[in-house]
Amino acid sequence: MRRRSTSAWLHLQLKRWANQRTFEEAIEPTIADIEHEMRAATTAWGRTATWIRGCAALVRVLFVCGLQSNGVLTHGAAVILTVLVSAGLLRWAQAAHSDPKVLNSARLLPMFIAPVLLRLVGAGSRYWRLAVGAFAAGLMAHTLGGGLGVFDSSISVGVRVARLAVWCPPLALVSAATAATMWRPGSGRRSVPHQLLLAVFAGGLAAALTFGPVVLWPHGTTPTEATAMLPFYISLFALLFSVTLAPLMLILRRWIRDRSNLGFAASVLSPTVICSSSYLDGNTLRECLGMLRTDPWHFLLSGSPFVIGAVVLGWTLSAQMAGDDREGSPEVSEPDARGS
Amino acid sequence: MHPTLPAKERLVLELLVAHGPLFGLRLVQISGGALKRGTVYVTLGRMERKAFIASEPEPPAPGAIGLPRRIYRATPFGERVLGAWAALARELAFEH
Repeated sequence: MRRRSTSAWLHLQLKRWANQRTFEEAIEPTIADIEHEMRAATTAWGRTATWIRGCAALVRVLFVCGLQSNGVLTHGAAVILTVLVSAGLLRWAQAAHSDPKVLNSARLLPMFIAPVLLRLVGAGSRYWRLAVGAFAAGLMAHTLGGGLGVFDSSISVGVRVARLAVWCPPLALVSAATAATMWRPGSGRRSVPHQLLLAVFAGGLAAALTFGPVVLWPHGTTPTEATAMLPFYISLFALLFSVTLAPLMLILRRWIRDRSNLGFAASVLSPTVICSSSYLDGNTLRECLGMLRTDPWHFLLSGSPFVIGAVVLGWTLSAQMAGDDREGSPEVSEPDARGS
Repeated sequence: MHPTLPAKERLVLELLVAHGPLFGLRLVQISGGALKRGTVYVTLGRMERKAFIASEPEPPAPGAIGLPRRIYRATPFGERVLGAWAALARELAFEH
């Protein structure tokens, strides 16, 4: 009785998750075989062995079907692949006692990779699948990579649970943000918050990519190390842009609709980001201005990644890039906007 | 679409032609390990889409519970494809 209800439950769940053709062609007959063999088995051991054999066959069916379709199984495989790679990198970064920026990059990596892989395998239009996949990848990679100390027996269970609870919100936040960067809305139109997030991320990415050759390499960081630090710098610069330049650009886009003009305006305002970055490095505003006065070329060169990032942010944040010309132009009627 | 006949599909057709309509699990049992129960239905589904085989649910037995199994049989087209394939194999072996 229990087996029948379990197979009925399996039937119900897989019907919900698998695509219809896969379900009818391969999954349903496999479950029917399991039920038939269960009825034919005469001993308890025979029934158990049959059940195990049937479940193994079902797993194989699901795996083969998952590889052949863009279903939830492929998405699961993408997350598991991300977890394995990221956990390995995290373990390596911890064991090598590398730069904290590399370690933080390894921590951020699963949340960066998972949405990209999920989008590649066809989950780009499902935000929740991207976000949950990124969060699951992040949490599992941190757990397996030893970052959360879940398997550390020297720590009490209470502390381990508390540590997990503390880590979950930031992981969820980063996952939600990275998932949004990979999300492709079904309507093709992006909301303002979504566009803002994309712009901040694009600005952070552009700044981080330029930061390596312009600032890190001349100071002795190897290209490999600079590449390994990318997720950390993308997040740091995106955060910087979001608290300094993004609010200003959000106001300016009400009046400047052209993407080139908004990009130019962002470059003019980019010193706000340069100063805030310099402030993070321990300099005061007076010292920043002093550096600008005494060695303007060096200041401008080291600030150039932020100028480039600001231009990309402004360009991406423009109303033109939203694919929506209705905003700020109330004369366009709803049906017209849809038609266009 | 040109019909293709991979080794596993040929084996399924040969078994269905030789033994008549069969259940998927029975095909696995008489294939001598060539067909696996984890992949047989994927192969059968693909062959059904190619119209090499057809399937129908088994007639419900009185008082039966659970899902009905599917019975697979070779279609006339599948038998012709198998015949053509066998003739081609013979021809090529003769020339060789």
